[in-house]
Amino acid sequence: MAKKVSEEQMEELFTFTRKHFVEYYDLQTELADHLANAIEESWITYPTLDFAKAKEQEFKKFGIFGFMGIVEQRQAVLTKKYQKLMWGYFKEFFKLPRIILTILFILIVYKILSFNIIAYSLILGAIVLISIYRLVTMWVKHKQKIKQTGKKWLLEEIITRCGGMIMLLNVPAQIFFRLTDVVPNTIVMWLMSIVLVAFALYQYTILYIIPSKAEEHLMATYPEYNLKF
Amino acid sequence: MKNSQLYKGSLNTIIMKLLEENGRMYGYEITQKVKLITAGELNITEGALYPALHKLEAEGLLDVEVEKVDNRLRKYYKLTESGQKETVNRLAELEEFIRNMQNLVTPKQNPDLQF
Repeated sequence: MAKKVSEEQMEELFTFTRKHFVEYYDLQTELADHLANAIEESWITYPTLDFAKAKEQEFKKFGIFGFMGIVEQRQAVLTKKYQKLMWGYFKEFFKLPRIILTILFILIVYKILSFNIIAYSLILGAIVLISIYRLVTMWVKHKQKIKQTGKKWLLEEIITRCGGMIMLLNVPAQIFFRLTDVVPNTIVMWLMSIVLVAFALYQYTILYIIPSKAEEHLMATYPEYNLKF
Repeated sequence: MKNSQLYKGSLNTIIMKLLEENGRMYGYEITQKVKLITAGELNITEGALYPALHKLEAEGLLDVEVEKVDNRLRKYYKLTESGQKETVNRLAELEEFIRNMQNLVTPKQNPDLQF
């Protein structure tokens, strides 16, 4: 009977992938299984070959950068997937029926700005503060979940980090600084209203909509997400 | 991969063709199958295979299934409906490429110039 990789050796392979910078469970599973298959294959020809030696031999086949290239490319692929998701949800605010609400928000903000232009920085400040609070609470929850389950999923991490696009927090502020030199006329105020509403909707999408649907997207991406093993 | 520059552009098509023939396969199985078919001439490196599989999956051309085999989880890839259609297109493209290359490398003699 062909020699098989034992459960303890499988654990060793998982530890090995972690040691070589594979933090995410889905990739660990795939690469550990790959190594196990390759080791079992080499045991057919060399049944006495030591497990550690066989493992190193197979790992060498991944090249000098080991698993790093695979991890990086996986990150790039899933970040792109996240961006696609994000734009999909964001665009909904500019389609019927939601666009009616979006226009209504723009009108309200315009009215507030016509009353006092300082309201721009106040609204902006409020959005930024709420965003930071939400981001921190999401991150704490995420860390707790990893501690509990011992598993890290790349897409979940991207969702928690908002795909790194939280940096866009800076954009409306920059617009404001550029507009301070301009006398606030009707066009400028309409523009400011649109920017504020679009920004608020964007933050709402990445901080509330996507995280609330995270489980659904994680299950669609990772068939093993809910598997008990 | 042997002669990587020449084979690189065809990796996705090779993967899709194999999945079309075999239904569903896992990463290691794909590398072994290619080795077997080409009698060891073509060796798909792991560093190229997995990024290609993940990209095809993200593009919606492949679907994944995870199953417990022996004492571990195994990730299988299979073509989606759009993946099946795309395989037909890509194979046609590849065949055309091979034909053109053959014509360029070994041009047929023009019969008008023969005596």
